[in-house]
Amino acid sequence: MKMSFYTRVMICAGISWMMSLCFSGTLQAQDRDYKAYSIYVYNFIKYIEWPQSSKTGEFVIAVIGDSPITKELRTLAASKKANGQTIVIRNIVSLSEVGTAQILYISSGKSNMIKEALEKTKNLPTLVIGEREGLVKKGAGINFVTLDDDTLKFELNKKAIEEHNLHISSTLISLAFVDK
Amino acid sequence: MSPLLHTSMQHTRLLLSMLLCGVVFLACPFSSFAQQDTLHVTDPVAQKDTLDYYEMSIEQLQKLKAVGVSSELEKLINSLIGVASKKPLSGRESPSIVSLITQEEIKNSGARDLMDVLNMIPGVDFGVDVEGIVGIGMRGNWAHEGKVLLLLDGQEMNEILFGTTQFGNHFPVEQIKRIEVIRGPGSAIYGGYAEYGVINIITRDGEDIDGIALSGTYGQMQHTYARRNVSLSAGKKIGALNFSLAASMGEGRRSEKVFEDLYGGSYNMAEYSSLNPANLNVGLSYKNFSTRFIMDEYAVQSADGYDQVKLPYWDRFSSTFCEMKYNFKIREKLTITPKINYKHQIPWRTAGDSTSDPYYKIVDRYTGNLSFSYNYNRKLNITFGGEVFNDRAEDRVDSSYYSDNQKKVSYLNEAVYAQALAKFRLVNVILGARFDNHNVYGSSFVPRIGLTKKFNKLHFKLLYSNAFRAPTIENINLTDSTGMHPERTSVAELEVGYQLTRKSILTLNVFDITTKGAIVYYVDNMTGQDAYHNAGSNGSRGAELEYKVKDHWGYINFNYSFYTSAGKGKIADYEVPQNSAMLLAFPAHKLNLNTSFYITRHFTISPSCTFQSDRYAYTAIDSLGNGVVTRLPSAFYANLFLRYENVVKGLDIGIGVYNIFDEQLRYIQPYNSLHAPLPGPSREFVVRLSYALHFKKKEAEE
Repeated sequence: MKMSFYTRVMICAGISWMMSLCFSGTLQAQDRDYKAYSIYVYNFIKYIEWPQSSKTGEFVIAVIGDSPITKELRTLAASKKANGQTIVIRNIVSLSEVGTAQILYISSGKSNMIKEALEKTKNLPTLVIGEREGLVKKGAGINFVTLDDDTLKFELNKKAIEEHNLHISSTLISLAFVDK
Repeated sequence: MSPLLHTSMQHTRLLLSMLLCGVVFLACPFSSFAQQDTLHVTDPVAQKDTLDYYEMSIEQLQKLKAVGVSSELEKLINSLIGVASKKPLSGRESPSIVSLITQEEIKNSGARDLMDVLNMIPGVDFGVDVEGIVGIGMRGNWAHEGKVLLLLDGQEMNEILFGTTQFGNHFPVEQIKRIEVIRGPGSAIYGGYAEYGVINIITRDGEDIDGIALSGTYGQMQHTYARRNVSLSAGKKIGALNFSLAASMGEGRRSEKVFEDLYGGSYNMAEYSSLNPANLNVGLSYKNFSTRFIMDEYAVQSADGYDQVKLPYWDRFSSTFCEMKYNFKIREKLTITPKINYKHQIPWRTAGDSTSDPYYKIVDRYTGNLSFSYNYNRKLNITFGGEVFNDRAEDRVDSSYYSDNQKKVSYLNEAVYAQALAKFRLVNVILGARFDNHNVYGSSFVPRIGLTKKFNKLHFKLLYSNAFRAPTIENINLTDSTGMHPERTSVAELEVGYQLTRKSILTLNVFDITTKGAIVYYVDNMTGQDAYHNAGSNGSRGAELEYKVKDHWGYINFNYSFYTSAGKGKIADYEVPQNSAMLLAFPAHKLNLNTSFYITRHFTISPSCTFQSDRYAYTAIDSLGNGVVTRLPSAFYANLFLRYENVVKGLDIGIGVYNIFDEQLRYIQPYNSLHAPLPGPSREFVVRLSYALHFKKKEAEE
């Protein structure tokens, strides 16, 4: 059976699109500048207030998934403190290792674990940050967004953050795309 | 044996072009290696004075880039383009197949006029119409009469009587900031002149000029000058006020060769092929208000007539454009833009002589447009609006009338349009449509859908659009008894692009164009009069490949375009009898190579070349008086331009040679009207002097 031109175009388009999606995961890791992401994470620490119970001991950032952000966060931890607390970066492979981390960073490749992450951190003073766009809709506190001109921004779910007993400054809200 | 290898000369041309293409691809790994050295220097805050990146201000934080410092290429391919959608999107996500040409590329290439610039773009070519006028073709299709819209600072340059735009030493390239080209349909946004493409020229505004700029270009062929043009710009931005004024004028020659018609007549184009432009462009904006005034004069001298050589005569094209618009920002999310335009034209004006009648018609267009743009959120934009225009034409020749013995005609066109742009994580969806209703030829509805997305290095576009060509005033006037309807086109396009390195990108697209009810010119054998009618269907399909490398040492732009008319409907007037896969005038294969190398900070060398495969043209008449189509051999055009910036402060000097090998350049008539191929410029030496005096900035002094 001879396929029409449009059928062939549609098949080519479908294959190209699927290839794009397949490649997009790996490419993302190559091209992102995670220094910028880590700068934002530091500013989240500055402009969000954790409850008193989290202000003692180490300030733990748990990163789930294999992401270059871990290296950048370690550079951050080596030079900065979180309101006087020493910052510790833990690269975890299972959400059972989250413990009482102040921040849980879900790398792009582990976005499908958002539901489980929210269950593990329920009622805990933990800020859940998603690397992939759209995770605030699923309950994360913050996720990153890249605009058309490659400017890095973030979306913020005020309600979700406050449910974790965290207080956000108006400065941070003014920078964010707020999901109501 | 390939037709390309028929003669040793053609063989040489092909080898030359292949050699140059080889240079491009050899440069590919070179650029990759270069990239390895600089890839790590992508610190997003490298320009920050302090090393403590984390303590940046809120303002600095807001400017952080997700991908670090963009390479020069990334800045180019990710720059926002407005021509393809009401809301600007990056070139890689824009819902059309688009080309962007920057001021830097225009300056470095030494482009003599707009034709040189547009020749860099895949799928674009030129052919001769009549009376020495050269028009544009797109993707193998003749698009001269109302099928490609040319916008100069938002003003529609196409003349309203026939819809044409005239090329050749026309429109000053020195004043151009950037050109955005849609190589596909644009009717869903722009209406009835944008069936096959849109060329959007944006000139420098007051902030860009920031002072006074002068430019002079002289081109010399072997026997006569090719052009002598001058250009002046002045502009300044003071607070919210942005003002610019640009003026240019000149004289040129189409060619210095002898034109020979199909009947044995000839004339020397070194004497009678003047191309004399003059242009005044004034722009002013203050806060949300902006206004534009343009006057454009273009005089073309020729002696080739419609097909037979006659006494030399002039065709004059005069246009005046005025526009005023205001962006009312009702709320943060809603902008309402009322716009009014006035366009006054006297195109194709000829005095007439013993062998031909005079032509003198004045036409005015009054346009009102109201558009609404609503950003529901960051991911959803809705634009809609309406447009009304009234065309009024008057025949000023005593013995000449419009149909029904009218000296004046008036037409009304009403249109509504809408577009929704929704951005999802996996795809951007653009849905749009425009509905036009004309009081004579009726309505046209042209929807479009586009799916686009950029996934870092890969991008993807799947587009389907309907478009139409609005019958012009003379189409209506010269229609035959069958009546006149809009020509309708549907276009499917698929583009995939891959950023090979931070400094190079490869893009491939395929397209399929089908036009139904094509508006075709013919001479009525019974009356001997010119006439237009809706003929059958035609179209083309093909592919375009682009490869760009851009780095601190310069850039290489290579593109290849291919079309075939095989499997498409045939219109006898456009057909090549001996080759059903090709259309008259336009080569099936075209390669462009545009390069520029920064030898020093101020000195650039820019070689460029174009290869065209065989073309077909009417070149003789048989014993029965019928035209005979023959194959013209492939052609190879090579150019070189050297440019030195700031020889003394503000003074740039450029020298170059176009058509180095003195290849015979001929514009072929893309339809059967028995006009012989029109010679173009031969080898041309060009000198360009530019001087810019910038106003002093108080802050800089302090």
